[in-house]
Amino acid sequence: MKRNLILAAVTALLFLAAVGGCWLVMHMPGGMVAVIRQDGKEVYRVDLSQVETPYTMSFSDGAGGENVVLIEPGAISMQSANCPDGLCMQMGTIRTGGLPVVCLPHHIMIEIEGSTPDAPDVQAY
Amino acid sequence: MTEPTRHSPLRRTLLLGLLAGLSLTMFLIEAQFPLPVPLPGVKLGLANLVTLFVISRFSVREAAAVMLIRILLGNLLTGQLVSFSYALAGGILSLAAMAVSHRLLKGKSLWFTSVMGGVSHNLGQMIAALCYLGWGGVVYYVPFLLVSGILMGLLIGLVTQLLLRAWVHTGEHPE
Repeated sequence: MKRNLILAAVTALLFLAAVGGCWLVMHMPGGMVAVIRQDGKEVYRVDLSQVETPYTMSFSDGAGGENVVLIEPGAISMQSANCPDGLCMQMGTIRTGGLPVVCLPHHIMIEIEGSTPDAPDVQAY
Repeated sequence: MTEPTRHSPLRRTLLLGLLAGLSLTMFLIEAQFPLPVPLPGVKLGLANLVTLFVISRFSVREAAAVMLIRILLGNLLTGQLVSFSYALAGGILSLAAMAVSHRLLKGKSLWFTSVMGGVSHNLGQMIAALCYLGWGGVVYYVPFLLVSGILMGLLIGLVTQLLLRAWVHTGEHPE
């Protein structure tokens, strides 16, 4: 019984830490520059605060996968995609730093800068 | 309850084949009902009921075989090459973590082994995502995947543990 208690305590701690992490991610400050990466390489960058009229951009992964991104003043989202799960379209619109919008099957990631963890080659472009 | 079975090789193969089929079925059924959470990688992991069962009653190696078959056929039937690599990454890490946990706990507290499995499965998929997408905001999904991994692992683990306990106590199992 003591073993179960210890394990339960460890699990609870891990859980609380994870929940805390979730909270942090959702309340992270961010900038206004949206960056779209495909296969890890940057393919588009736009300052959302400078956008005046909404427009779309299409991306293909070279294997039939198509993604259309909607760029609006202060917001960016995945308008359409022909991936199998369509999760990227459900992720909604992002306006600030934090969780990115990703289309895993097509290797596309949309995120808003100012909150990306520092990596050696991210800042150099 | 957590002692490995002592079947003949033929019987073992037959049972494992059945269990692999069961695992695959659970995987396919679960794939029909996506959770309403817009996060990639969040799922119940029903098929892990079987994986846990095999780890507990057979061996880690046989659990690995069953899981591999399930990942191979499951992704062949439902997915693309990409999802296969994600599933493989998650599966390998998950199995490794469960093997270690099961060994350290001497087969007890299966629920915790399951939690370890759930968490490491999601971490494995995160690692695969980082390989495909490069370092970036994807890592911000980690806390959410941890929460999901813990909860789902706990659920599956408790169910498996209770199942095993009930099964042994009925006295109707083959051994």
